[in-house]
Amino acid sequence: MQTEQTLDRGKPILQVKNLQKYYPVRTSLGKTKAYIKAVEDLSFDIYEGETFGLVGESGCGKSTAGRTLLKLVEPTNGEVIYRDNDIFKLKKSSLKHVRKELQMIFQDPHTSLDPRKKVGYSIEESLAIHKIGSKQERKSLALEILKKVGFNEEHYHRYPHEFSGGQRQRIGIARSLVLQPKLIICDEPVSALDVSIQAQIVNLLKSLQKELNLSYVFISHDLSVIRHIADKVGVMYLGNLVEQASTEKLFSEPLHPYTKSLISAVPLLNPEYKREKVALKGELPSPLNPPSGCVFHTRCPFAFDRCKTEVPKNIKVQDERTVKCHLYEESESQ
Amino acid sequence: MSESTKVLVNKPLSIRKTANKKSRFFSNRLLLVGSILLVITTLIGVFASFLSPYEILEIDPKNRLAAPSNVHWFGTDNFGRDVFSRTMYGVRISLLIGVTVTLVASVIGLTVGLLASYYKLLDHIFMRICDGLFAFPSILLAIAIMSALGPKSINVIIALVLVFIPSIARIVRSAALVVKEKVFIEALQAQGASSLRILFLHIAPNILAPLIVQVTFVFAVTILTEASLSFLGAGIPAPLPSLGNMLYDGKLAIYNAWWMTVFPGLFIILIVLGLNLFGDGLRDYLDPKSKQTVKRRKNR
Amino acid sequence: MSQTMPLLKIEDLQVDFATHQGEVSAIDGVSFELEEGEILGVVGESGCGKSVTAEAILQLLDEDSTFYDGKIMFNGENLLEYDKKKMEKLRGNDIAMIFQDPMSSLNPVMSIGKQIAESIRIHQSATKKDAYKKAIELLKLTGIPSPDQRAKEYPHELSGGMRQRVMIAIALSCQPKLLIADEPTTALDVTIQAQILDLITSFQKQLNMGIILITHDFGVIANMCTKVAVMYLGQVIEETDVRTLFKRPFHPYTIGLMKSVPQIEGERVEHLHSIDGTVPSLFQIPKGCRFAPRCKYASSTCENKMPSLEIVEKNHRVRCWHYDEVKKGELIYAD
Repeated sequence: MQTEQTLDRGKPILQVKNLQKYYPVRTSLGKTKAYIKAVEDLSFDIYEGETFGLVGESGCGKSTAGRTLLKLVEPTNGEVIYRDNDIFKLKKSSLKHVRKELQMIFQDPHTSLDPRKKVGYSIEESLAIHKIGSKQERKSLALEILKKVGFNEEHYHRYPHEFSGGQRQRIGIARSLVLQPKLIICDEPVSALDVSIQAQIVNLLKSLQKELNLSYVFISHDLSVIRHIADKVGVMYLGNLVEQASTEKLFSEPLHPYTKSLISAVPLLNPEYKREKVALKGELPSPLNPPSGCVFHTRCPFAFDRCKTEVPKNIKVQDERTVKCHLYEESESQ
Repeated sequence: MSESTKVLVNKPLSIRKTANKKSRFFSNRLLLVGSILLVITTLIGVFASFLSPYEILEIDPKNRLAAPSNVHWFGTDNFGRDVFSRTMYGVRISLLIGVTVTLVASVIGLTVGLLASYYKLLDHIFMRICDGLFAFPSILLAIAIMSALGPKSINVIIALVLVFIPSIARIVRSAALVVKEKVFIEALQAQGASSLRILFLHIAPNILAPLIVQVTFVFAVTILTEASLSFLGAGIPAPLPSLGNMLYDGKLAIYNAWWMTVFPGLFIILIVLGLNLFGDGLRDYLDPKSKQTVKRRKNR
Repeated sequence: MSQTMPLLKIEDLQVDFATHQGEVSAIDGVSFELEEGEILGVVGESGCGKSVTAEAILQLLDEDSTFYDGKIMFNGENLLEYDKKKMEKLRGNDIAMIFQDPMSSLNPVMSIGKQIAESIRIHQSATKKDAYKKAIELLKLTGIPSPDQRAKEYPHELSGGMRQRVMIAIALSCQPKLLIADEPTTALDVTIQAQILDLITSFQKQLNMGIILITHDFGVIANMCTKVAVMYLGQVIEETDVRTLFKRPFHPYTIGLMKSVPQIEGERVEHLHSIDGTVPSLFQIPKGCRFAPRCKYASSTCENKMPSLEIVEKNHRVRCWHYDEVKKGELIYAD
């Protein structure tokens, strides 16, 4: 079990600073008339060997954030610092180099592999793209990685459709590992899987993390899974990171009203105990027209006047714990 | 195990236990008949010289416009040339043109379609050009190009290639756009794959199915268009026989020498029919979700 | 024990599909009962046949390639003997169904008000106007704000949660006796899920409906259901009331499954429990007990003989040769 580390862990492996992604909505003539504010002012740090969980409901921008981090989507603003370099400012060739160390695994196991290529090919291709090793070396690396995720040589020659969803997800993990990355962004990797397979994949990710000292950004809408795998959690709502804390603290003492509501909405596996739910009013606003002031105020059971007009700052409540809520302004720590 | 109640529905039937590629091919009637027709016509085209008892250019004015007989199975034309031999060669030439045009148009169309699906600027340029070409009925466009280039066989090929690139490019582009949205493409980008690698090694193989079906139809239309061009006198120049220009020759004598038009026409029909059936059957065969009549064993 | 006939009684249901690759048995001998006012949860993973069971009740499966056996007794009559006409009268009227993805279950080119009204007009002789008025009322009852405005909108203009409310409105428009809900909240966010489940519960109380709730989420089961049936590879392997299921599950699969679910409260485990192996394909159903290849209690009996669904205590049936040993070893929520 992870305890909160108060020792100096050195510099973070990845620093995300004020990440912003707006999608312009254009008129038919090409003029921009509005923006979809998908990600707004996202900041967090990840240390080596750590898992940062990014949780939120649909439309909160977590998937967009994941893709923007790797520049798979052009960022509007912000910095992502990896090994002292801002990824966004790198030249194409240097970026390609960096991509080796920052990998991604995806949600949909049914389309994440090229259906016309054998599994071995898909895994080796990462190496071929970066011109690593000879043909023989690539094959042996691929076989090694396949073994690590639980397959053997015969699977190397098969096609994706011969595998189940969970197995394909493992192949996706193998593909991302073959380049020996330092950080992997996991975009809802278990959401499309059955519960028992989900457990297998989560266990696999955890053991790989220990063995290879990997860092993860684990994106999910499932709070229970996040609680199990993440060391630190960021909660997103309508593009904003509303709360950030260690997993322990977030689930035992959530601060932001949205976090409270989210946690209370997860049904418990106990028919005798009906939990007090923090009910939210209304529906999710459109990201085209986010509410003024605090984006959550339209649904917040604790909203007051100030919330409608003023955007709350990112308040540091404790070491490595922030909340974006007017309710906590007095408790700002030095 | 259970007491059988009146089982719902349906005539008792028998089930095929396995449905491997071979049995699926033979049970697909369209594909089967289409393939047979194509095989026959291709063999005719290939072995035209062996099948032809007469020289195709040999004139025999004494025997002009002779009706079909033991000597001339399909009769003779207005120059006394053996219609049967000319038809056999006509099949060869029409098929040759069809194959060449289809191959060249496919290669170019595939490239154009792929690039258009990936690069927005190229998409605008290429697709507007294709729209422009598409706006013309293929015959008119072909005639226009032929008149600009001059009456030579090679120009027929060039004209038809230009006419048919847009339809292939369109299909390729639509199919490629669908594949582009699939997650594995994004995964490749995350790994640093170049656009060319993604386009030609990954998107292209995944659009082969709709492409091949479209290609068979383009082939059929090429045959028809070439025949129409030649029929109008703007295609393969005489005296070389194409199925189309034989119709042109037979136009004027249609009432006294029906054999000059009927036999070439028949072979046009066979080729095009074969291609259409083959294309339809192929589409069904390649579609994993197609509903084939499934049968069930009588006793359980 | 109730003296009246159960609302729904499924006896030894068998559903086979004829596919390109041969015949496959999707459901093999499923039996359960549902009383009026009861909420039965059917839980299981993909391929277990839970959706097929639901679709079989309403005969929504492909006519030409589906073959049924057994009985589906609804109000004393065998639904499998109903002809097309009788079935159409039943659907939406006495038995209603809501599906997982509301976007594909609603007509994208018809306003939602009209779609609800249509369902009313099919089963009740009402004028267009009256039906539409009733539709707006239903929208209000399902908690949609400004219903007159919303009734004119199209499915794509609504959020997922609202579309599901529309589906519920359509389903309940004729006050069915039985509601089949096939993963109604799986595609929804957890906060919306809570709202929708509350809505279903309140309607259930009002109309005293029987509900078959199909899901893979044990949390939903715990909060909503009175009775639960756990399915695996086309069979029911455990059936009991909800309290017993969470306190004293006997089947190794049920236990394994519940243990694999990460918890939002309680101790954080280092390693999630997982069941070995994967669900076999329906074309390669194991001989004997279907769960044997993955079961740590499996013996040679298990591999060769299929256990039947036996009553092991009051209101508790299990399909396992070794439930005795299992029950001694594994207790989950000792509360």
